[in-house]
Amino acid sequence: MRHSLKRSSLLLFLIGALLLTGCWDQKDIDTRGYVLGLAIDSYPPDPQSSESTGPNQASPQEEEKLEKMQLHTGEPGYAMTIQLPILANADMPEGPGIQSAEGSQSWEITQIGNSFFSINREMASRTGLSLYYEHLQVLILSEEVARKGLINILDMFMREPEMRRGIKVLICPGEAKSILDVVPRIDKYSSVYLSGIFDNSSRDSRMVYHTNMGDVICALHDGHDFVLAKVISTKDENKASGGAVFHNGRMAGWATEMEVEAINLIRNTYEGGVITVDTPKGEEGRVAMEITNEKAEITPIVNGDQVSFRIDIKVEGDYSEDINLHTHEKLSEPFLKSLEAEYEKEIQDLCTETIESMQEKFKADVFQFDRILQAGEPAYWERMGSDWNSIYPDVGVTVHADVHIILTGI
Amino acid sequence: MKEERLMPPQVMTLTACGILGIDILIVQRDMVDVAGQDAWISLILGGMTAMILGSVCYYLAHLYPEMDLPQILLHIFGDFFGRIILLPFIVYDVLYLGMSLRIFAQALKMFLLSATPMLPIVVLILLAAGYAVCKGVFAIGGIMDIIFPLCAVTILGILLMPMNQIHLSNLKPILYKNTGNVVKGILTGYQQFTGYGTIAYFYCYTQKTKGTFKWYLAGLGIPIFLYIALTLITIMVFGPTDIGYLTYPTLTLAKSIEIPGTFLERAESFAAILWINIVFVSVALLLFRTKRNFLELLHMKTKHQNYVIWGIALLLIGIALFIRSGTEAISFFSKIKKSSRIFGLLIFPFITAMGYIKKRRETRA
Repeated sequence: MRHSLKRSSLLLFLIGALLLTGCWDQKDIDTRGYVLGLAIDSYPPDPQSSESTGPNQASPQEEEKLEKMQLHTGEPGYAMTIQLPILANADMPEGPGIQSAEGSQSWEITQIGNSFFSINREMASRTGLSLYYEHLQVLILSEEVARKGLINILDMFMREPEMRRGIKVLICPGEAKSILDVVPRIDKYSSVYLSGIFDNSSRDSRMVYHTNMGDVICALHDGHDFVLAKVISTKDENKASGGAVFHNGRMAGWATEMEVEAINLIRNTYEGGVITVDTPKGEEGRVAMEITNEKAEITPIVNGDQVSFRIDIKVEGDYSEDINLHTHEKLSEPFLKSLEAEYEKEIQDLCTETIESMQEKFKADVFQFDRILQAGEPAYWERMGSDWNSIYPDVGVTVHADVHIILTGI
Repeated sequence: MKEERLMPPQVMTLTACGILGIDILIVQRDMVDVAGQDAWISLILGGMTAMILGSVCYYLAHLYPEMDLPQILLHIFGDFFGRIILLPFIVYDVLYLGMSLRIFAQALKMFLLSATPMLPIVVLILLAAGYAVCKGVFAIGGIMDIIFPLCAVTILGILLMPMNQIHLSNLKPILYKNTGNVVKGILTGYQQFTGYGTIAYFYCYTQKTKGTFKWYLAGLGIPIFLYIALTLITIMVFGPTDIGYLTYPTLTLAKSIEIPGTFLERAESFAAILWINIVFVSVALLLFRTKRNFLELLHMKTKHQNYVIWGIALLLIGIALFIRSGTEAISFFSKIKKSSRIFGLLIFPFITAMGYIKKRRETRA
C-alpha cells in the first residue's frame, strides 16, 4: 500500500514536471515577430545632413507616415524601424519583381519616440506579434544618429537579454531605414542579405567586418576609438565598404575603402584581399596579389615623455593576375623580388597616409595605440594617459612592410 | 559502520560538484572587482589555498573515518560546544543555498524563462534535489557520475568556443602596481572553492584506499582549473572594464559564441540547460550537508530525515524569495560570502588541530 502510494506520487510528479515545464513561457512560433533588422534614424530628420543613398530614400510623404507615440517626458528624438519576416509569404519566389507583384516578404514598421524600450513596446500595439530579438542580424544607424554618440542609444541593446553581442552595427550616410527597404535579388530579407555580405571578409579587405555589438560595447566601455562598417544601398543592392570613424564614442567622419584596408592591415584584422601595383622598372603593366596571410606588430618606443610607434607588417600572398603584361617567361626571382619591393612600398605608403589622415582629420586613434600603451608601457600611460587625446595627433609612426610572394598560379 | 560505500572516483565527482555551483556565473566579476586584469593570478593563488585547506580537511576526515563533520564536531568539542561550532556552518549553508537558488532563478528567468515566476523554478529544483537527498548518499553519488561529465564538457565548450574573440592584451599589464589587490583577491579567490569541505561529509561513506586522496585532489583541481580558465578567457574576450558591467559574465560569454548558420543562433540555450544540472548537483550536495548538520544539531534520528529535508526546503524557498530586488539579492549573496571568509579560512585548521590533539589523547588512553 505504502509502495503504491509512493509510486503514484512519483508518477504524478513526473507527469506534472513534464506538462508544466515551461508552460509560462510557451509561445507559438507563428505568434512571434522575429526582428531581423533594426534601423535608427534621427527625428525629426535633418535635411542638411542627409545624402541620397539610392532610389529608396524616403520621401517627405513617407516621413509623414511615421507614427508618433505619446511620451511621458521630453520630445521624440529617434525613429526606430524594424524588419519582420512575413512567414505566410516565406515560400514565395524571391526577387524584387516577383515581390512587388505578389506581396512583400517582410514588414518594416517605424515608430517615433525617445526611449527605444518604449518604442519597442509601442510597436507591439501595431503588430499583433510578440517582438523577438534573438535573431536580430543588423543594427543600422544613420550618420546623424551616429554623430550624436553611440552611448546615447545602445543601452537597451546592452541590457536586453534577447540582444546578442554578434549583431552587426552598421552606419549609413543617409536614412538608415532605406537600407531595410532594399528588396534583395537573391535573399528574401534585406537584413539577412546585408549580414551575409560580411561573410566575404576573407575576400574583400575594404569592409570593416569587426563591426559587431560586442566589439562596440567593449570599445565604448574602455574609451577606445573604433571604426564601424559603412553601408550604402540602391533599390535592390547594398554595399558595405569603407567605414565610419568614431572618436570618444561619436562618429567623427568617414574612412575611405583604402583607409579601411590600411586599418585592417595595421590592426591585424585583415582576413584577405587584393593589392594591385604597377610593374617595376617602367613597364606599363599591373600585377594583382591576393594576400593570404598578414601579421602586424606594433611596437611603442617610449623616450621620457615622448612616444612613437613602429609598425612591422608581414604579408604573404599569391601572384594572382597581371594586366597588360606577358610575364610567363618573366617570373624570375629578380622580377618577383622587385615586385615584392613595390608591394612593400604600396603598403607602407597606404598605411602612412591613413595614419596621418586619422591623426589630422579625425584625431581618432582607431589603431588603438592607447590600448598598446596601456598594456605594454603602463608607466608611460600612467603619466601621460590623461593627455592622450592631445598627444595622439602628433605621434610619429613608422611603417615597415615585408612582402613575400608564395605562389604564382599555373 | 556506514552501509553504503562510494567508490574513490566518486570522491572526485562529489568534490568537483560541491565546488561548481552558482558561483560559476559570477566568479569573473567577483574576481575582477578586486584584482582587475590580474584576477586570474588571485584565483590561482586562491585555488592553491583551497588545495591546502582541502588537504587539511581531508586529514580531519581521515582522522575520524567513520564520522561526518557534525559528528566529528560533537565528538571533539562535546555536545554543547560542538553544537555552538556547528551553528555557523548551518547559518552559512542555509543562507548560501537560499541565495544560490535565488540567483539561479533570476538568471534563468532573464536568459531562458522570462515569463515563469521564480517560485516554481525554486520549488522544482528543490523538489528534485530534495528527492535525491531523501534517497541517500549513494543515489547522489550516482547522479553526480552522470551529470559531472556533462557539466565539465559544457564548461569546456564555453571555454573553447569564444577562442576566436580573445585579445591577449586584455591581460596586460601583468602585476603592474596591482600586487596589493592581487593579494587581497586571494581570499576572494579561495572562497570560490569552499566546496572542498564536502569531503568531511562524504568521506565516511567512501571506500578507503590509497588512491582516495589523489581522487580528492583531482576533484579539487578540476573546478579550480575550470574557474581559472573561465576567468582568463572572459577577461581576454571582454576586458576587465566590460566585465564590471556584466551581471552574469559566464552566460554573456556563452551568448557571445557565434556559430555560423541560423539554426544554432541560440546555442547558449544548450549551455543554460546543462548549467541547470550544475546548479542541481550543487543544491543537492548543500542540501545533504544542511540535512546532516540539522540532524546532529537537533539530535534527531535518521528515520526523521525526510521531515528535516522538506522543512529546510521550505526555509530555503523563503530565503530565496525574501529579497525582491535582483541587484540586492546579488549584493546580499556577496555579503554572505565576504562575511564568512576569515571563519572559513581558520575553522578547518582549528578543528583539525583540535581533532589531532583529541585523537592523540584517545590513543594514549
